[in-house]
Amino acid sequence: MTQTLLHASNLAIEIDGRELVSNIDLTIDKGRALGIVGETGSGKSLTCRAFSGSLGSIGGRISRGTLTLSGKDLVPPGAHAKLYGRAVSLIPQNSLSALNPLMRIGTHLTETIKALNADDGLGPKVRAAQLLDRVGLHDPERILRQYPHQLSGGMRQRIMIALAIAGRPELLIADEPTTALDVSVQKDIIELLGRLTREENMAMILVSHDLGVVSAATQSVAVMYSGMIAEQGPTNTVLATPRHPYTKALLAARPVMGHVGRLIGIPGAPASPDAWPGGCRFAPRCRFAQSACNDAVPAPVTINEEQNVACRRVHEIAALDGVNVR
Amino acid sequence: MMEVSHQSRHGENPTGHEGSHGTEAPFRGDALVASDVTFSYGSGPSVVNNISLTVPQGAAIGIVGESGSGKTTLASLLIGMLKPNSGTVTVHGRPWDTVGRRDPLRRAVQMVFQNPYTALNPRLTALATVAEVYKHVGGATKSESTERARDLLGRVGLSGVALEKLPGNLSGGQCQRVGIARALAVEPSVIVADEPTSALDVSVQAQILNLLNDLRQEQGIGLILISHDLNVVSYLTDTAIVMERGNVVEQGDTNTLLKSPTHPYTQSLIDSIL
Repeated sequence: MTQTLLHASNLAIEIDGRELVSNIDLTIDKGRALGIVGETGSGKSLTCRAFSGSLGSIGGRISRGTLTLSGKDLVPPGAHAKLYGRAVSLIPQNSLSALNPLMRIGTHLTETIKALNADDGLGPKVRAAQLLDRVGLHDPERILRQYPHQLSGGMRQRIMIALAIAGRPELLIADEPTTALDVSVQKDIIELLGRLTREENMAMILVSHDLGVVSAATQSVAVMYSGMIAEQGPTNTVLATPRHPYTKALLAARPVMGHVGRLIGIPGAPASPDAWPGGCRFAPRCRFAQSACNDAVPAPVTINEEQNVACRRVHEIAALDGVNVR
Repeated sequence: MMEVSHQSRHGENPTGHEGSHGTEAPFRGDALVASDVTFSYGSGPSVVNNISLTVPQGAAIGIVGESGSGKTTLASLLIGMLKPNSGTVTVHGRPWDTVGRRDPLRRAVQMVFQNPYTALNPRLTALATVAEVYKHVGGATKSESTERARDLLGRVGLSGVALEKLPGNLSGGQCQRVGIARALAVEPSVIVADEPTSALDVSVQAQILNLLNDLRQEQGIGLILISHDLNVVSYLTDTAIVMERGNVVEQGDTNTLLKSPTHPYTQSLIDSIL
């Protein structure tokens, strides 16, 4: 039986009085992996900051809605204070430059272990070596003595993962964990995150703009556009049979091997938060849009009991594909 | 030695420009020829090992490989930014070391960079960035260079208020269009694009890939594409070379190479695609 770990309902996030993320409804169960995909500025990193309690550092706050982790309310400021690193852990974007260049890898790990009081009675050094082994670095004595610049990008990302799991979190949030890595290293890191999620019985949220990465590592996916969720559902279903015009356009814009003919880009660019349209935010770029799409923000429609699509024309558009959806 | 075909695989002419501007670059012969080129930084090991390749005018060639495989160094050698320790690189038949800084042949090869934000002067508007090129290289007057820049930016899909914006106020895709227009302003025969879309979102990437493809079809501008993204290489190039530790381990028709790789390293790169 699945157990809900994190639940967000009608969540909104604002910075300096501007609402940048709205109407987030998400649930993640223990032991599962959720992907959040979207383009630059779609609000995926802000959403993850809300989940990890790190909105305050950029002057943001949850302005509406509910957010719970194992039933505990995470909305009040400071609610994360005792949870960070233990219940929730974040591998931040650009994490390859997050390590202190003047500090040995061993110091990074032992200080984190001490701060989280997470040495499992083994002592910080032994626990640090154990963590390195968990993330597939099998020469711990040598690596613990090394500085970040002596390690490859893939190895540094494994160190970041070791730091993130040091406190045995229930929820691991990985924000673009493979963006700066070579394809072969990227695959290894995704496999490692998948294995750790299963073996440590964590839940994982994987943020990425790369649909291939999300498809390989997650069971469910939420596609974000201009601060809202456009579509969510099982990863395989959403990527194989996208129902929101934005998800469809995103998939059509990707070059895939052997593709012949012109790529179909999405015309225009996302509007800035100061100029978001009053209705559907994707409408100005949507080839299916009608004037009614500008009237109100579309409420999510559940189709086939598993896909939530925030498009008022979802049934008509599916019919154009020759599909009847319930 | 490798010969690269001129034939494009994307047959349509989607923008309808019909190559009205500078359809034929004023350069003759193979655009770039590298012969037995070897290079190392200082006294370190060879980063590029004894590589020979020919890039005919109008060809599109992809250089793929992982970080540290030598692909950017090879590109730097091809465009004359680095001097090989041994071997030669010729541009339209002339070795790079005989081409002076003000020689018109210098303009034959232009670069489009990976990060469009850092590749532009943050204090120059999109229009001024391109107009500068016409003013300093083409000797045009201020009003002429502004008009020509406006026209060129229009051809790469940038017009209206965007022209007067600084790079910091443009999107990544718009900045990359400015970078491409700046490269085109000197009417090159080859553009070397180093990971031109890796910093861009998927929908913007499609626009830039289409633009690079259009330039080749409409104006016969060749392309050397450096990328770790095999899907992008597959879409944009006819020929590919795969580099590992400074060596070319496999080369040939892009689709054949990606469909039926013969070298284990190429196979491993393909297997890694998620």
